[in-house]
Amino acid sequence: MVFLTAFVALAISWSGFVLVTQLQLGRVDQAKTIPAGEAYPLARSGQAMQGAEVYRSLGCVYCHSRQINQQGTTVEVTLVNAGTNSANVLGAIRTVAPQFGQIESLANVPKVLGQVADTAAADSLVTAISEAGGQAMVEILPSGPDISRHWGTRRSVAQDYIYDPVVQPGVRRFGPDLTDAGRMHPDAQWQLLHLYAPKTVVKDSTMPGHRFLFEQRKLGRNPTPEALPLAGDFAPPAGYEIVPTEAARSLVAYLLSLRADAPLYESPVTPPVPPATNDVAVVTK
Amino acid sequence: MKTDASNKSDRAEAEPTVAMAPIPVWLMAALLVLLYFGAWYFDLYGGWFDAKVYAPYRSIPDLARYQPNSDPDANFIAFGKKLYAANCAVCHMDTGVGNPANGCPPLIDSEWVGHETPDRMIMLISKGLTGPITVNGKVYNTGTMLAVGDSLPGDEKEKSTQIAAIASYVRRHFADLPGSVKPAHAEAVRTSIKDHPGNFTPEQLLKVP
Repeated sequence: MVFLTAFVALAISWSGFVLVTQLQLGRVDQAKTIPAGEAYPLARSGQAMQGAEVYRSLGCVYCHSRQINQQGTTVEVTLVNAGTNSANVLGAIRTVAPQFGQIESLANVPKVLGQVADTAAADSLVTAISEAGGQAMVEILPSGPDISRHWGTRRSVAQDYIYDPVVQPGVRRFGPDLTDAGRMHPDAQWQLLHLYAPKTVVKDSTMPGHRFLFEQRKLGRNPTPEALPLAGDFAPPAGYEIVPTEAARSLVAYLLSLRADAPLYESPVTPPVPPATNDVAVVTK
Repeated sequence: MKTDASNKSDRAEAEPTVAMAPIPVWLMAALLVLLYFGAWYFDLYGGWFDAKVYAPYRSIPDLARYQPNSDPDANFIAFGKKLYAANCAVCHMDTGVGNPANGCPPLIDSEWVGHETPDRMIMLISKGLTGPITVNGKVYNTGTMLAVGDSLPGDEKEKSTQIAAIASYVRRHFADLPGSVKPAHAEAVRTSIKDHPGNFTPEQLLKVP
């Protein structure tokens, strides 16, 4: 009897946590982005996959999460071009979207007209503007604290993780979220410097340097091409250079491959992504 | 307290007995209200456990409201497809291969369909066509294509809209041309050929830009 009870209890929780989830998300496969129709996500290169193991072994997940939260979505219409007859365009805007009646002039384009209820309303407004001779575009803008910090452009969904052999969404954020690390800092040199001594590139960083991923070499006749350009407090002793090891290069390849901003059906976002700004001060050399 | 206790000890207490007590009606009502609220809340926010629905979206229809419309002409072209099936597919076939045996030219790989401006097509649909026509290097002895456009139902404005829809569908579907033909443009073209007697001939149409 005890055995049966325990079995039933375990079976129910197994069905709920494993079976249902598997049925729901087990067959998620490469999808197409909307509206561009590109395959997403793309498989990582071999070096990046090795970097994923380095990422795991260093325990990056203890300080960095990889999941973006989203609290809302707004649909905005932006006037790109008022055309030659802006009075006509203004009239069209007032007819289709009376809530924008307070807009007096269409100078200073591109101009954000405002928020509309959904894409259908936005489409009809854009159509009316284009018939009046102007040009406008619809923008779908996810919002929330993570997105305000430029950590991501949209929420994370199951699709983003399908090529991760071990999914590490993380639970703590001593450092920034790394969902879009490759988009925020696409420069491999920046990533290497940041791994060697984070304060060289981010002044207030609390991340520990990972100098064991680098090799201090005696300068030969010619400097190694991939040696780090270090100066000041971080420079190696005279006659030495700092060269990244294979592990550092793999890790950077992995970090550069982290990018989850493709517009998908389950997480729509306007494709042209504004350039990421670094919200932490950068030391100029 | 003390007085109460001393009073009670004076007489023997009645033995407690077990009896049936009906469930209070207010409790039933409260449970029903809770159940109703729970079902309502689940319906609104649960997304029916759909794998595509994530917060902050609540359901597939809610998510659909935020999908970017990749083709603003999609509805118009779908309308054109219906009209094509009703009016054109008899001879030109659903697939646009035409009916060469009966002298009906194809629409696929046709320089008439793939022409950059839709004016010729609007005229041709409006008034029909007579005479042999060369399509993709092959001569089709058409006989006559009827004035399908003029015989469409509705007033002039509705006819123009329908012809624009058909032309949009044919241009998009068989020649992969972007955009759509605007009803106002079709109306302008039709006004210019209002007094044309009978059908067009290919030579007349070739003079149109």
